[in-house]
Amino acid sequence: MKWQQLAANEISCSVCAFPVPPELWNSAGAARCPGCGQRVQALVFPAIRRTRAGDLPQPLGADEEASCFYHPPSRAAVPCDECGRFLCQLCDLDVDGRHICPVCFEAGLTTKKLATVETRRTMYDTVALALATLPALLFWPVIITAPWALSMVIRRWNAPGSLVPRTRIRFYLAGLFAFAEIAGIGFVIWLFARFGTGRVFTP
Amino acid sequence: MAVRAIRDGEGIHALIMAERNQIYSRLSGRKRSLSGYTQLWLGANHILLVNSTHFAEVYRHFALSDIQAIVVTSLAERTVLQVIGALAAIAWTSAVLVVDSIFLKIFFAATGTCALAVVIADIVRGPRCMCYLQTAVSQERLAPVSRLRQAERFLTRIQPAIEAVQGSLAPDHLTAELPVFAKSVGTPPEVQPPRGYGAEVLFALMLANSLLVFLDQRFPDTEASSVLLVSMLAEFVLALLVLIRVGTYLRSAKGAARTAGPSGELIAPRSVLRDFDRRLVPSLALIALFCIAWDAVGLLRGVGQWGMEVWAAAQQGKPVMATFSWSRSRPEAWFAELWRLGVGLTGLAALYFERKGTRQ
Repeated sequence: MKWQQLAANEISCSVCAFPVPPELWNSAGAARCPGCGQRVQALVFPAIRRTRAGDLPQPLGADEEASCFYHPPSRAAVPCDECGRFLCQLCDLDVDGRHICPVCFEAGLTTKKLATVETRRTMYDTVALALATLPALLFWPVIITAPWALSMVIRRWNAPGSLVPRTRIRFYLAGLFAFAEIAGIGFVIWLFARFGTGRVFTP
Repeated sequence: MAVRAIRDGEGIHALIMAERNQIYSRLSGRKRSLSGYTQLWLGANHILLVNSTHFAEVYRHFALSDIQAIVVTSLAERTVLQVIGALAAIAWTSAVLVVDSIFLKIFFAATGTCALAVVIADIVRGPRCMCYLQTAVSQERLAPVSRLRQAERFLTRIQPAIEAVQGSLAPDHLTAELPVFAKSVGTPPEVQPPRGYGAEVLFALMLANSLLVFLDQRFPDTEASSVLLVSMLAEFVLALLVLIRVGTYLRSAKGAARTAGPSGELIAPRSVLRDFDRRLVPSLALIALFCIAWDAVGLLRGVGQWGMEVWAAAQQGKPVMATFSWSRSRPEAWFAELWRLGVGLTGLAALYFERKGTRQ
């Protein structure tokens, strides 16, 4: 990937990947890219001064100094905000301004308790709505999918939804459709039971 | 906060409440595609890029304190394409005046209006752009920011938010620090994507089609023309794919050559382009596209003529050849046969020598 081959502190044109000269950074109007000639606007922030290398752990200066729980030869910098273990700069993970050790971070990811580092969520409301509506086009699959959709609505009602604002209208609609389909199936079964196949379909 | 709430035994409801308290505000509209959409949101201390497939959402978090730069580059204007699209849509819609069937009138009116609406929407949305967000360890394309007007709105909102966290970098500071930012690290040469064998398949298919046209001419009963309709379509699609593929390959080669100066210095792409002489294959693919279009015109004329003959014979009760054959339009068939033979052989020979040269 071309973007992964950039040198440190280098800003590149979005189109041709040609480096944008520092003279053009944060300029008032859009300048022309020297590579492709397109108008380019590069907003650069103070974080550009950072290098790609992370902070190196500091070695212990004296025996009485606190050391990292995971790296005994390294000097402790902060305690973990979750488990309280001492951490060196290598083990300190900044999550929303909190210092987390790798083990607590891993546990948070596994149990999906760290919302801000969560990378994926299933939208059960959309799944339930699709289960309630799409199979209805083929009619017979609703015998299975309608109860399935209704059970999903009930079971997943309180499941964490999208991280961004989202209404529950899909859950309501899915429940409504699934309930209507189940009622329809029940009605058809009742008709069969009451009148038998011959009476229903023969005029 | 949420983790602590769970640990303290407050349960899942505490987590949900904590998340609900985290207010995200919309930074961009939805950039839709066939498989879903992407959208940007601004959180308390980060930007959230949401990639949704409708059934699942994948999140990318970019802490405001980590953002090094946001680069917006305008893309080439598509005025000619937009005008052609609008004219084509109007021409399509005007077929309403020609046809008699109500169904066809509705069909042409609906589809033409939709096509025109798409073109007008594209014009109204303004010039296109490409936006990248850069951190120390990653570069991410922000697909939802695809128009310059959107980009302006996005930058107007995001710049104060980032500067509130990081502070600002004034241009005079930059000038003072220029030696620090000057390029000193040699970039490794870019890895070119494999060229693939699409062009070889295209030229081989042309030779096969040439043979099929010949067979159809000499032996109309073999019904080779029915195979030809499909294989010509495949030829057309392949020619388009080869053009796109070769375009990507050329751009990649241009990028690779740019960083390959003798002493690690950067070379402007235009000077490299002069040395890049592998233009024969895309030229042949382009010629093929034009010739296929010409063939299609001849083919349609032939099919129309054959249809009229069938209709006339059916009305008079005479027997008629039930299948269409190119043998009835001899000049078109010869043209179709010969250009395919020429382009196919030239293309295969060019590719053979090019690959041989690359290996050496």
